[in-house]
Amino acid sequence: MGVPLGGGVGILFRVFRVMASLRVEVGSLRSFLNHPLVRSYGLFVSSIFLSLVLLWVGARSAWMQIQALKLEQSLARQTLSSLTTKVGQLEALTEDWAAEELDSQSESFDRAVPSESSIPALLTEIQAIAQKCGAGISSLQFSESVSSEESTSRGWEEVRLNFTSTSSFAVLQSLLQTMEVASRVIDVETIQFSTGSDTGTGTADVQTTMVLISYYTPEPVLQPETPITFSPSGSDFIKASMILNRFTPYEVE
Amino acid sequence: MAEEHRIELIPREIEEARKRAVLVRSLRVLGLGLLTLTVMVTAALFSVVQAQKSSLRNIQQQVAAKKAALADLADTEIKVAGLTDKTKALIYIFDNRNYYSLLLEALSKGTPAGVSITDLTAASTGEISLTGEVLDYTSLANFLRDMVDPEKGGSLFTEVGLTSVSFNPSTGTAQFTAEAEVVKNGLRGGWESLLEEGWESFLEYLE
Repeated sequence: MGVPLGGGVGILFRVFRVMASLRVEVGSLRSFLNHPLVRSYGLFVSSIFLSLVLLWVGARSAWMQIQALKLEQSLARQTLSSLTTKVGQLEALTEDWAAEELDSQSESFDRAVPSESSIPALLTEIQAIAQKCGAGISSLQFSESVSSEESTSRGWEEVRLNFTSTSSFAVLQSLLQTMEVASRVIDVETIQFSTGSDTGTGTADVQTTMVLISYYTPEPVLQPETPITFSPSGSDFIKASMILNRFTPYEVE
Repeated sequence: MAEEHRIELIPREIEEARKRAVLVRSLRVLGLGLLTLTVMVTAALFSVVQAQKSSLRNIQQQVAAKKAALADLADTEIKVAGLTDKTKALIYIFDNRNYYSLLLEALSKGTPAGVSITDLTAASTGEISLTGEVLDYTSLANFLRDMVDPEKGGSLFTEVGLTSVSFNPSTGTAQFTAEAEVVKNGLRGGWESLLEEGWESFLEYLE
């Protein structure tokens, strides 16, 4: 392994030559060991040498292994601790909160901010809202689904729609109010409308163009060590839940 | 003074050899002692390594058991993680959304007879561009003044500026264009209005 046969013979030959030059031959080993100095101090020196070798090779490597194992244990303990906490939290949630309640809240929140862009469902809901309010949709186009580093880091993404309709001023007001409480959250980014020059009565046709934004949160990626920060008694959740309770789903009749 | 003569009976060589023998023996004992100690320390360290490995295996088994328990709760975890993300998103959205119905309501209430708004452009920046027709300049002046006068219900705009006005002799009306600036967060509904009747109970809950 590594040294070829020819190379190995060469090395041996060189070793023998060196030994010969130093006159340390196998035969003279005995005389070396019988040398008074070696007989007197050999055991001491070799003990010290062996101790040092043992310390360097054995104790040092064992010490390094211990340090590495301690670090590994510390990480494993942290993982265990976070997993224990998480399992405890989830078990407490399932005990405190009926499965039906969790399902119902998930459904309500998922309707407001789905886990996918669900553009067809969004278009249908806007169509239903316009139908309910009596506004005639001239065009409704999916503009873009914005997915950027910023949106990924904040945890939700946007879907933009261009909406054009014809209605009276009162219907437009009603349309906006209805959109504001629709079960799927729809925001108006910009609004532009124009009426006929003989208006002012509120019954004339109003041509409206709006850029609408809806949102979705991508499916969460489960990481075993990610802690649970959710609490059903958290003020943010209660607030959002109470608002969503007031929101209405719309479907095309 | 009498001199003291010491007679050394043991030859000096023997004495030195004896001393050297003691020294050699001491060094041997010291060397072997040190070697023994080193062997013991190394053995102790290796036994600690084994104990640490065993402890690590034990923790890893516990981690595996917890991961299995977590896998059983995966459905709940997905729902909870979804609720966490959606709550965060909804709070941000409700905090920052503009309620343009408030703008239309303000314009509907604040536009007097004789003034009609024909075009409006509003963006989330809070800048509003208005185009309309008036029967006379006095009505226009009153309309623009009242838009920023809280006593006259004009609490939604901070400032209104007339960009252009031109008289149309064929219709007898004047066309105007104005730019208005909405009060900061003026189109935000606020949590009170969002929760309406639920606001009181929410406050009670927080207390």
